Amino acid sequence: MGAVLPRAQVGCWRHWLALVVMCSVALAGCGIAKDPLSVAVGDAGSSAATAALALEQHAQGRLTRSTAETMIDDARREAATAAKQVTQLTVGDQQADIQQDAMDVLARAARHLQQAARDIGSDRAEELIDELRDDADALAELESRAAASR
Amino acid sequence: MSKIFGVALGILTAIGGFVDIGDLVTNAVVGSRFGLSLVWVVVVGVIGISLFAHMSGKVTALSGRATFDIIRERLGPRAALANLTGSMAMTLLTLMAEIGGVALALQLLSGVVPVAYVLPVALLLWLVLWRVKFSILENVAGLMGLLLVAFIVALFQLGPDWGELGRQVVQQTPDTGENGLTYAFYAVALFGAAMTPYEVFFFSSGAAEDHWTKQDLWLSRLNVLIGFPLGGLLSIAIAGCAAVVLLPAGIGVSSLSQVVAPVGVALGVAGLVVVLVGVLAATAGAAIETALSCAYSIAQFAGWPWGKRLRPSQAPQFHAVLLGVIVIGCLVMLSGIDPIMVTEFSVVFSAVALPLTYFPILVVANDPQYVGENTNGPLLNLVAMIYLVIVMVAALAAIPLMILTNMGA
Amino acid sequence: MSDRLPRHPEHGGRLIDAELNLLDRQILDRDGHPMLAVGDLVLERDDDGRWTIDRVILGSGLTTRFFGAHRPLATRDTLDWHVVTDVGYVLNTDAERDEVAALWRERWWRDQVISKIPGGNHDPG
Repeated sequence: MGAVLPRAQVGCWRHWLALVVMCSVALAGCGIAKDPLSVAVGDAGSSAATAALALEQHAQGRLTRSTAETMIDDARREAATAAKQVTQLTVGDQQADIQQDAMDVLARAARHLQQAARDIGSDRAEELIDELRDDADALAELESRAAASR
Repeated sequence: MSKIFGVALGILTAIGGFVDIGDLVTNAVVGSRFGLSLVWVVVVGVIGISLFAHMSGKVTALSGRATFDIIRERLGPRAALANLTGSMAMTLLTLMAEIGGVALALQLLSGVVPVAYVLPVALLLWLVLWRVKFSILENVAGLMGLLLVAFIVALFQLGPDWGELGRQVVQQTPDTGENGLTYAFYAVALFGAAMTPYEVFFFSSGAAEDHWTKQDLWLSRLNVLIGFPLGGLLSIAIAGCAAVVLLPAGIGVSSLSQVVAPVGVALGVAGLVVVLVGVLAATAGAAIETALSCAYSIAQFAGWPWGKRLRPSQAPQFHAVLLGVIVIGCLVMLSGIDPIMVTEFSVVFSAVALPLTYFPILVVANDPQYVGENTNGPLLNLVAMIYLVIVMVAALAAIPLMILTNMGA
Repeated sequence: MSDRLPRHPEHGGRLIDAELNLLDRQILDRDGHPMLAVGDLVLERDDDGRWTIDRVILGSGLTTRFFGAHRPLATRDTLDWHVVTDVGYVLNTDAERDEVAALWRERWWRDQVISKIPGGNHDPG
C-alpha cells in the first residue's frame, strides 16, 4: 500500500445503512423474532431459579448476605417485568390458555419471591427453595408450550 | 532484573486489564444460554485485538504519533471528525457501562443500591485521573484485575464434565432451544466485547505516554501475544462457569449477581469476595481507560496538547474533556438506568464502530512515512485484511440482528 | 495512482507535497508541545509571480462549517510561515506559546478552569 491516500469523503454508506436497518425492522414485523410469550415466561422462570439458587447457596454459607439479597431483588424485578409483559400481550387463541396458566404461576412465583427476600437465612428457606424450583419448572414447561404453539 | 520485572508487569496488566464489564456480562450471558458453543468467537476476537493493538502500538513507537493524530493527517479532518463522533459515542457509552459496573460490584459487596455509588465513583474516578501517575493507574488496576482468575479456579473446582464442555466448544452449535438469529446476535456482541475499539486508541496513546521507542516494540509484542490470549482465557472461564452452574438450572444471566454466583457456588464466600474485588478493579480500570480514550481522541483530533505526562495546566483542554465525559457519564447513570442494559448496548455498538477504528490503523501501519521500513509483512497484511472483512460483516449485521432478536431476548 | 510528485525545477532544498505533508499536520511550539493542526495555507504572490506560503491557518474550522458558515479569512487563527523551523511528521516552530494568539481558548481553559482546581499546576502525577 502506497503512501498516497486521497482525503476520504464521508460517502453514501449512510444510505445503505438506513436501507439495511429498514429492512430489518420490516422483517422483524414479519415475526422472525422469538415468540414474546415464551420469552417473557422464560425470563420469569429464570428469576425463580435464580432466587432458589441464592437461598440455597446462602444457606450453605457460600454467598454473602448482600449478594444473596441482591440476587433475589434482581430476580423479583425481572419477574415483575415479565409478569407485566405476559399480562399485556395480545395472544392468539392457541396461546390463550397458556397465557392464563402462566399468569397463575407467575402470581404464585411473585409471592414466593417476596417471601424469599424476607426469609433469607431463616428456617423457612429450605421449603421456599423447593417451592421456587417448582415454579421454575412449571414456567419452563409453559415456555416450551408457548414456543411450540406458535 | 528490573527488565524482567517490567515485562512481567506488562503482561500481567494486559491480562488483568483485558476483561471489562462488557466481557463479564456478555460471556456470562452466552455461557448461561449457549454453553461454550461460542468460544470460537472469543478466540477470533482475541486474535483480532492482538493484531490491531500491536499494529497501533508499533506505529506510535516508531513515529511518536498517536492513532488519532494519524487518522486526521491521513484521512483528512472531515473523515476524521466523522470517525471521532462514531468512536466517541461508543466509548462514552462504554464509560457509562463501566461506571455502572463499578457501582454494581460495590452493591454486591455492601448491599447498598448501585445508584448511591454513582456519584462517589465518578468523583473518585476523576480524582484518580487528575492526580495519579499513568503507570501507577495502569499497573494497579491491571494487577488487581488478575483476581478474576478466581473464575478459572472456580471452573476447575466445580469439577465439570470436561468432555461435555469440549464437545460444546467444538460443536459450535448449541443444544439449547435458541434459534440461529439469537446465536448470530450473540456472536456479534461477543466479538464487539472482545475487540473493544477504545482499547486500540488507548494502547497507542499509552505507548506515547510511556515514551515507547523502537526498542520497546518487542515488549509490545510480548504483552500482546501473551497477555491478551490469557485475558481471553479469563473470558472463556466466565462463560464456562455460567455454562456449568447456570445453564442446567435454567438461569439466564441478566444481572451482575448471576455472573459471579458460580464463583460463590464453587469457592464459597472467600472466592466470591475475591472475584468481586477483581470485578471492581477490572471495571474501574476500564472506566479509567475509556475516559482517557475519549480525552485522547478529541485532543489528538483537535491538535491540543494531551497526556498525563504533562501538568494539567499544560494540557487544559485535555483535562476539561476528561472532566466533561466523566460528568456526562455520571449524570446518565444517576438516572438509575440499568447498567446491564447499557452494557449490552455498548457491546453491540462497539461492533458497529469497529471498522472506524481498524481500517485507519491498517492503512497507517503500512505507511512508510510513519513506520519507515517496518511496514506490515505480507502475511500480517493478509490476516489483517481478512479481519477487516470480518469486522465489516459484524458491523453491518449488528444493528439488524439487534432489532430482529429484540436485543437477544 | 502514482506516488511520484510532478517534476519541478531544482532549487536545492526539499520538495514536499502540501496536501500530503503539510495539511492537517500537528504544529509544535518552541518546547515541542502540540499547538493545533494545520487547517489550510495562505499563499501570497510575490513580484516575480511566484507563489509562496505566507501564513498557516490553524484548526480545521469544521465546527463552524458544520453549521453551514464559512469563517472569513480575517477571523481565522493563523501563524506566520517564517516561524516554522522544520517539516517532518510534524511542523516544528520556534513560536513562544504564550505569544500565539490562536491559543486563546487553551489559555482560557487553563486560567479560568484548570488552574483554579487544586493540583492544576502540580507536576504530572
